[in-house]
Amino acid sequence: MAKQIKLMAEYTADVPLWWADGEQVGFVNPVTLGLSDQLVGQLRAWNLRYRALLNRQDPASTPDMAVDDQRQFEAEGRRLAQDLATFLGSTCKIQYFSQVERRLLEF
Amino acid sequence: MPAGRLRVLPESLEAQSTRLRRLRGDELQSAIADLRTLSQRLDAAWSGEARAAFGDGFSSWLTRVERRGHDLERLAGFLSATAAECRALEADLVDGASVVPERPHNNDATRAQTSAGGAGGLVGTAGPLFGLGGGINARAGGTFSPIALTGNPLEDLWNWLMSLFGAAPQPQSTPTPTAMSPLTVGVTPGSTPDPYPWAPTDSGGASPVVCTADPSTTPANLQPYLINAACTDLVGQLEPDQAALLIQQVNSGQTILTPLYVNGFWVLQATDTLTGKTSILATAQDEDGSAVGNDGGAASPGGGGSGPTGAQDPAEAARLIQKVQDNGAKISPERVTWIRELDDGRIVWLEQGNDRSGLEHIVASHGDQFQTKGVPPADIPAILADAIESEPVLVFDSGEAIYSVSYGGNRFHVLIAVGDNGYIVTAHPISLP
Repeated sequence: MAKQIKLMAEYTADVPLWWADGEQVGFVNPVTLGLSDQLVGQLRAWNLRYRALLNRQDPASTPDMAVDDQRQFEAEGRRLAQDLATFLGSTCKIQYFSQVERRLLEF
Repeated sequence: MPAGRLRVLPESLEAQSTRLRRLRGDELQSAIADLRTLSQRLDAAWSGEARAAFGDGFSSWLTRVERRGHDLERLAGFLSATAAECRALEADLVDGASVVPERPHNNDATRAQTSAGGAGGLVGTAGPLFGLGGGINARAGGTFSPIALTGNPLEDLWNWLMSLFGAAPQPQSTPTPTAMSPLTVGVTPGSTPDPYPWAPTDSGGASPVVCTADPSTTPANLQPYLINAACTDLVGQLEPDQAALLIQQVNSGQTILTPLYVNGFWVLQATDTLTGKTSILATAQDEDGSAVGNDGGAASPGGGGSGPTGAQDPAEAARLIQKVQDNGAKISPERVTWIRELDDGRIVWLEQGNDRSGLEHIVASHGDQFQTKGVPPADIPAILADAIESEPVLVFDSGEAIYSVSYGGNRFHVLIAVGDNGYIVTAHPISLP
């Protein structure tokens, strides 16, 4: 059965890949997936943009992304999800948690 | 009409529903057809990889646009259904106003206690929600019917609160939801929160509320009930003068009074219709201290003994909130789910939050992972409270720490990220190598 992995930005993540198969939990080690360094770097950079938003002194006041930034962030997230799905093929099902639509999208 | 009040008529809802259906059926479909035609023409004008890539991307985009059309259709259906419910409710209200209803419950003893001022005393108008263990599960609200006034403001309030939950005969074990049920919103304990509660196809959001003299004895029944004792406890925390003023304000439209059910606690909330500011007038726990909505079952699944509750002494919570405020940190008392002082002196708390941090963020982003460990969304706050009070397995400089927790006989690890001020940013289960 294909593994199920979720791409979702989060403050606690380095590479924001999560188990979503209902059995394992937490982060997916990208090394075990054989992802290229380039793709891992892009995933890390994408999540860093999300983490950089956090106001650690007063997290409840963490601002929203600017509209243009949000749009770009969303587009980049979907592209990364598509790249993951393409790279992993039938061995994995990729879900993407859209910050804009607040729901999971299948890739 | 005072500022801050929103009045929606069924006719308006139906008109908007029709408009959305037209938007989807005519304009959107027509635009999509035009775009497909243009795309086909464009295909004939060029070739190569760029054309293929553009074609794929454009086709994918059109598919997503069509999905938004489905969303419009669902929203239109929801508006139509709401309009129908509004009409039915109005009809019920008209029928109900023409007769003086009999008291639905045998509340002589509790009424006498309430009339004497109760045991709780005045709580105040800005108290925080303490130890509530999760989000709001149910609510109802409305205005007083002048015909029901008895002259005793506490009794009027008691009667009104109970009447919100229906005038059904006292149930024996499994009460039947009343006509008020469709009005309730929120999350049924043990269910997955519905991120799109407006969508009619997602039925997980509704949580029927009924009135009863006793908690349900049916473990499978997840309805929260306002029992006589809890209602008495709520009303008993008000002074007669305060109750009289509330009734006056509600009848004049200055205040909306809402009983909320929040994971085993009843909260009487007042909302100023002019400013929108809410305040908590009274809180009451069920007599046995359990979450009536869960009937005690969901809080301790398979573990034997009591499950996590996250409950907290209100006075202790108030003291800690005051301490946070004295330290100059920002905290929203009315949104605090629980607050704890740790052995190292730090004060940490969980707030309802939003989609970026706090409980809402945790449930929306990681509810599925907690579910994998058998933890329903309603029990996540309690799990986190248990974790934060335990010795961490690993601590990071970033304010994150990993804890070992147990639920339903399963032990697993949870990572909790806390802001510099003590506010919990996020939390999720994690596997350690």
